[in-house]
Amino acid sequence: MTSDQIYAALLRLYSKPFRDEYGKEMAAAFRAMRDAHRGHVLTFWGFVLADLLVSAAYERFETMQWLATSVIGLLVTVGTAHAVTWTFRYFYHPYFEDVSIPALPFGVGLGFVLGGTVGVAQWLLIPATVRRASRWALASAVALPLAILFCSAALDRAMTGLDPIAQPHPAALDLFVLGLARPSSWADLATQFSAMAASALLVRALMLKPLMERSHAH
Amino acid sequence: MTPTRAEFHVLLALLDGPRHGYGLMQDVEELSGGELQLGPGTLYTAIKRLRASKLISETDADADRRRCYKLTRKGKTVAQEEAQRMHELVRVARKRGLLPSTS
Repeated sequence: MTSDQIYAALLRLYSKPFRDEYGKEMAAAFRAMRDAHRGHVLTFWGFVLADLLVSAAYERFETMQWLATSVIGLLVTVGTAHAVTWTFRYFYHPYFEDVSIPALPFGVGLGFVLGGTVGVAQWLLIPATVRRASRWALASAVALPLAILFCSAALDRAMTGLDPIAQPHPAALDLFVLGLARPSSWADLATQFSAMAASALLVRALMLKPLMERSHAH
Repeated sequence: MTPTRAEFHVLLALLDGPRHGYGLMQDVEELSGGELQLGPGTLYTAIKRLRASKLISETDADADRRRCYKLTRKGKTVAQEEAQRMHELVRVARKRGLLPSTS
């Protein structure tokens, strides 16, 4: 196996779109570098492998950032739901049983809370996401309502916190419809979703400037 | 965007005109006095990000049909801002005695 063939095989560590775009050029640069190298062959391959492994990991991570953002959104949502559960349980009073918050203010409020927590989590954990920030803002806004809808375990606990004598509901959608804001129709549900997404986007927009400033500080 | 060290060196190398990939690797090594050596992986991931940020663009291939890259106006502005930022840092470092004074 020649060194060219080894390098061509190692290029598979990069994503396919990246290989298609730059693979040939990288192989040509590798050949030129190898021909010009005057030191020991192990030194050369040590440099090539370190360069390749680090940059391939970074390139893979960059292409997966949207996924990382959404996963963090989900985790933060679950954490927030647990915190809300605990708070409701701690301060529970029968007086609250008949309290029903309208869909729109509930959606806006929840969007602000979750948008803020997700934004802070991203700010702390993945500062690199400030690149193409609008894409991450959209991912967050989409991930939040979806997370609420599909994290049935967290929702179940949250519902128990809201109404400790309620029977567990079998479906996440039922829990969402019946428990969170008690919307009476699909229109209410759509309003709540839209309000959550819009307010989460607004939070991200407000956080964008400090995020960018943080990025410039690096 | 704030360029990384490798990206900033690529921008600096392109100030002299369009270059192909291996030419950039050689220029960066020379500009940094041999301190920074870019491998193909680091170089092309930097090129990908710089192109995505519209700081560099592809230009006509050279005589050997190798793809060449050139600095955009935005790229030059970003390189100037980064150089100014570094200049300010050096000024503060001198003021605090971290670096010897020039006067």
